[in-house]
Amino acid sequence: MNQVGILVELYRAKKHFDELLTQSGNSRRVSRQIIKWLEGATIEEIKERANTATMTIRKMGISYTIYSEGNNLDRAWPFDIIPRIIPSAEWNNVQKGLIQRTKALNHFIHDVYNENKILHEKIIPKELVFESPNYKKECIGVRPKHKIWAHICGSDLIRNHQGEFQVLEDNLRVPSGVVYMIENREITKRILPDLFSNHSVLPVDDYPAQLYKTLSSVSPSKDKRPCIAVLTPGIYNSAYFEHAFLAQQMGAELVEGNDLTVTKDNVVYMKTVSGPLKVDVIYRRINEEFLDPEVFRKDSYLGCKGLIRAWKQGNVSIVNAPGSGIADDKAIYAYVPKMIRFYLNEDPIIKNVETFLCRDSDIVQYVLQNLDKLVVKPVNESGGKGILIGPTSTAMERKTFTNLLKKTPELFVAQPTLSLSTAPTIIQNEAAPRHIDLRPFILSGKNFWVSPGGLTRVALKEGSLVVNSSQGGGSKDTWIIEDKE
Amino acid sequence: MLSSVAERLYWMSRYLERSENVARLIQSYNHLIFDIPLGAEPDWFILIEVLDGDDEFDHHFNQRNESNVHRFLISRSTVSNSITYSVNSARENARTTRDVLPEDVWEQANQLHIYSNENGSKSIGRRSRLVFLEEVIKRLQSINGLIESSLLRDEAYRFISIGRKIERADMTARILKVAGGDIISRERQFIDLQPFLWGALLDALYAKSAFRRIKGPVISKGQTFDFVLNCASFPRSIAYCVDDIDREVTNLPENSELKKILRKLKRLVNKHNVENTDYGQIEKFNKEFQDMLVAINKTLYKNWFDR
Repeated sequence: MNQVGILVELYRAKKHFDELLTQSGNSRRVSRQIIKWLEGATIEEIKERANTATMTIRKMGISYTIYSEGNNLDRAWPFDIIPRIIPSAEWNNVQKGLIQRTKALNHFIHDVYNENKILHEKIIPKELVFESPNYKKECIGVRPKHKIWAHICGSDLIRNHQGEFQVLEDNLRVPSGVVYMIENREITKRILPDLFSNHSVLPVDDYPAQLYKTLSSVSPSKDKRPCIAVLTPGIYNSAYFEHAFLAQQMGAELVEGNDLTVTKDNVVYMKTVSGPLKVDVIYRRINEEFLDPEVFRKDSYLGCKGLIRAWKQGNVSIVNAPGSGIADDKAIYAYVPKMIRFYLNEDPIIKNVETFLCRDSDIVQYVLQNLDKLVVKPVNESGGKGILIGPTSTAMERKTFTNLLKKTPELFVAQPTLSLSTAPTIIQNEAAPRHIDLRPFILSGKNFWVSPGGLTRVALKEGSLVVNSSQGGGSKDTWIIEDKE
Repeated sequence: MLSSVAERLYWMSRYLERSENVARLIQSYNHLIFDIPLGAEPDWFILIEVLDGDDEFDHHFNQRNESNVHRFLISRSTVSNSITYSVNSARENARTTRDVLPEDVWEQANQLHIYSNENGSKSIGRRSRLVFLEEVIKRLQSINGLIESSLLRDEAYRFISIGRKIERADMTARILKVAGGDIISRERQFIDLQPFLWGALLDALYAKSAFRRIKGPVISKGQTFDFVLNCASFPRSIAYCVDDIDREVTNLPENSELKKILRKLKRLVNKHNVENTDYGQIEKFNKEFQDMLVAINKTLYKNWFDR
């Protein structure tokens, strides 16, 4: 028999926190069963289950798209069969921390477009907000229902060496990935039914219903069943599968820009076979620059003329509200702990990753001297673009960044090299440690809600810290389970 | 229902029906070839003529032979009437309407797409093609079964149903014209084979056993035409399709224009003289019929899809 085994010696040498194994290579309390199963499994068995997973994904048509691949609209979603497990007691605390953080972020967005209290109190430098390209003047004075701007937030969490969760970034514009969280669970149930039923795992398929509640709670109309539209850029978008899934699960309409019109009196309608129908809530899955050619990019054909007018008049709710991006700016990120203290008068439950703002002349000196140890990120980009990873960088790259930092220091932040926890992952039929992160989804409307777990992304390349699916990342099912003695 | 979604459902349904019809057409012709005395069989190319694909075929191939005909109809994904093309188009439309369809419809349409793209080009030879066609038909019927058994009877269902019946009536009329025309044009030459050839035509329309139950075991030209055109209880007859479209249209808003065309269409079907049909008459009938289908399509766009 060819046993799979766990490459314990790989673990002993590691300094990273592992989700399922302790430093000495033993299972953790919550992972006992899964490790036992893994140790007893044969290579054939693992192979078979992994193949079944791949087949299932293909058949279910779970896919994502990469623009550059032309006509190939589907890439099967890479999935690792070993679940990642988090004890529920620990998770409860994370959940609280995430709600706290999202509340503060929403306070902040509402504040910078209205009273500017936090700026008057000089907690956050004015120019950091007003000079950011993510600050949209068009949104000044708008007061969305419940003062919520970022209704759906996907915050990326990592664990440091001590195993403590930290927030790496908050995604407040159009965070994606939730469908994979739900589908990963479906796949696990199909391929590991025995193991799954031996654990009491918190269900994740409640998300669409919670999302529906959140969207309904911000509807401007009194209608018990408001008209909700999911606005998608279309099938060429990488998350189209998710847009369709959510619309279907919520019983909402999946619309594209040209299905909508805005009348002279600023009401949004969609074109139906029985004539125009008034829309109350738009869950937009297109970036705000493309939302309304009247206000933002004139060349956009994805959005619809007049949406912003209708939104400002309070005739339609746009989710997430335009302008929310100001709070996921990487320079603003550094101030989130201060925001929590300022608006909520509480201590932050989840820590930030230490962040150096290069706009400060002392700090930029420090960053320049330690370029080979730090990660330097542009403030306004997302998706891992334009980043310098110090320890693996070439002299040439460091030179480029030195020049950039000297010329426009305010456009950059720096962080210590990330420490991401690992989890055993099937690589060529063996379990080996791979780095992972976690994206939970936080909903804010009349009430607050956090997904039980979230999407665990895994960097499939050995040693790699890049978990993005477009760059060789995969995903795992995430189990929140009771931690029983 | 969103106009754009209605339009896609309509086309999804037409492409599903088209792929099944084309598969069935090839299948029945292949069976005919085995049974018929050498020399009496129509040319393979008649399959292309049924689908009006002559020019497109000649653009793709130099030789009008058996394997090219099958290549054209089964696996060429760039040919607008091939099974693979229709399956791909049905699936694309299902992808963009899956929010209103039962979940399994997308899953199964996706699996059918995977199957036909993987196996189509390997299924040109005589032996493998029948296995392939049977599998494709089975899968299509299972998708239709899902729609029939679990789709809400709302506008989504109406446009799906209209699309399916238009496509079906269209195919029935084409087969009557081309295959019926071919049999008629060689009437004198193969007088003994007449019942057999009309039987094959009924086969291509899934109509043989239904025909026998209504009309008895003897198959003739007149009875075949009467059954395929007018039988009110056979779901693939033209009269049935038109009635069904009419029923669905009744439940749509602002339907008067389309209702008018449908009345004209019914008159055209009724007045066709079935007993003494000759080639000229069939051709004339088909021409008028196709023109009206075009008019229906235009009206669908004008009143619902382009609103």
